[in-house]
Amino acid sequence: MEILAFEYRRAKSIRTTWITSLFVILAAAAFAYLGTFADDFDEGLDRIPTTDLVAGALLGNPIVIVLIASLGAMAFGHEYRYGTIRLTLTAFPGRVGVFFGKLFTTVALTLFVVALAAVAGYALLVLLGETASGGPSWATVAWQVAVFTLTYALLAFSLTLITRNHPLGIIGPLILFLLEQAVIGLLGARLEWLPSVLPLASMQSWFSGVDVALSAGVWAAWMVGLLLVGLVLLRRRDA
Amino acid sequence: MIVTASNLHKTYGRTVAVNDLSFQVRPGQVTGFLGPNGSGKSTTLRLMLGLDSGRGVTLWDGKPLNLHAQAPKVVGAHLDAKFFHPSRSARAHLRMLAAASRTSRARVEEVISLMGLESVAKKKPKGFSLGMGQRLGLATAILAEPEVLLLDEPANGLDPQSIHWLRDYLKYYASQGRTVLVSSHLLSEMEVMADHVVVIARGRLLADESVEDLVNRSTTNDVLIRSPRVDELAAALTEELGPDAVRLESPDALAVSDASTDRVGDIAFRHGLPVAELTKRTASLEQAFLELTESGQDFRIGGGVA
Repeated sequence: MEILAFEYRRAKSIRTTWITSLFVILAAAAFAYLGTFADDFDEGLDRIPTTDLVAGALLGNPIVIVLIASLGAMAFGHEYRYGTIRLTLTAFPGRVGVFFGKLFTTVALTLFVVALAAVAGYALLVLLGETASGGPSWATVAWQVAVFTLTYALLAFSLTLITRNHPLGIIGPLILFLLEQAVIGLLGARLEWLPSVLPLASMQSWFSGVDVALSAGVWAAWMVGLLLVGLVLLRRRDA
Repeated sequence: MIVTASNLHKTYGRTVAVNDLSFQVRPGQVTGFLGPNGSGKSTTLRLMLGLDSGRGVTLWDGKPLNLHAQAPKVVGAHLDAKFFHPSRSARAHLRMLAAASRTSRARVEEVISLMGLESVAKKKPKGFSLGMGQRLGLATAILAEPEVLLLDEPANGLDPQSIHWLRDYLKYYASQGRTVLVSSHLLSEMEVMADHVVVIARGRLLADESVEDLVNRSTTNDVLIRSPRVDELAAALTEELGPDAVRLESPDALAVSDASTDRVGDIAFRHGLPVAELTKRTASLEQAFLELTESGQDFRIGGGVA
């Protein structure tokens, strides 16, 4: 699988990958620690459970969203921005193979970096003696963080591929996050079904255990749909 | 490896960039790909590589490129001197592309040395000059030692020594039984580099023949004859060759077309006219190219849109 070797070298040979990954880790650790300063009035606990701190540092954190999106947007963003897509597609004329090679690399890279970030956050809490039991299980945190990471990485990946605009691919997922919140805030009371058809709201419903099958299905449909649009455009468009 | 481009066709809106273009590029020779600005050369190269969508098909040894197991071993292309990530070092750029064809690190170093990139191999290409960018692009193209080289204006920005080296290298590459297609505006360079030319204008094929045949077809191939009795000589030549064949070149010289030096000399001799000079003048590739493309050029300097 030369495409994977190629993608591995592409990703590791630019400084942006390393810097962004480092920032994800630092941001997760910093926000996990900053979370210890918040009081948990609802639960009436002295300390916030460690799993809540780690999950809170990653899930819904706009800084982490932008950083994950940066990693997701790189796969095609740099290629279109600097014209190297023509070298890539000359070396690999089968565009479907290029698409899945980049998709696999993006998923693997973002999940790995976010896993490291979660470990870094936990390690910092342990070092500072800020651990507390309770809260969700580690397994729950793991799958929710994985889905959250995939969501923003794939949104960035697809948006960059569809628009061939690297900055839009990075900022697009954050805009979508804010836009969904605004739309739901404005129309959610009148259109009760609205949150159930939006990608990020569906993800939240899934995490909350509300209509799990439907929420997961809507989320997956959005992700697959956007990826398919990107794939079709990649195959048809001039490089 | 024979490269066969068949019925390549590409439009941008109502503009036809490449119009049902078919030609073959054969191994063992350097084929020049010539055409005026905007004639569709770069688009044709991209269509051949499958980078642009359009009609037609290009077969590489009888198969589309995507059916070959390793495309980098089939074709190495250099389309632009700026196709690199500005902060990825030249060496990392080449190693990344080497991974696409399982090319060894030793070969990467060999190519860096061959292209004279040793001193900049660790540097980021964002500060590269056009010439250095061309070298990196050429290094990319030859990295996997492909059967076919497709180069779009590779000499742009190169210094004279580098152009000389490029010419020798491409001739050597073709002499190994490989296929080389080079587009260029440097016609004097192509004249000494190319064995065969494909000439297009407005996306249409104008010529697909050897450089020699193209040049010999030119109407600027003629015979110059100089004589102190030029009026009498003109009358004699016109009588035997027709008025269209004889043109006054200077007060004491005539240009005679469609006749050999032997024939012109013989006519002068039979009429008892003294001859000071008798020279066969052969057109250059540039003259032949200009004749061929003068009606097919979309954009002319000083002429606006034709």
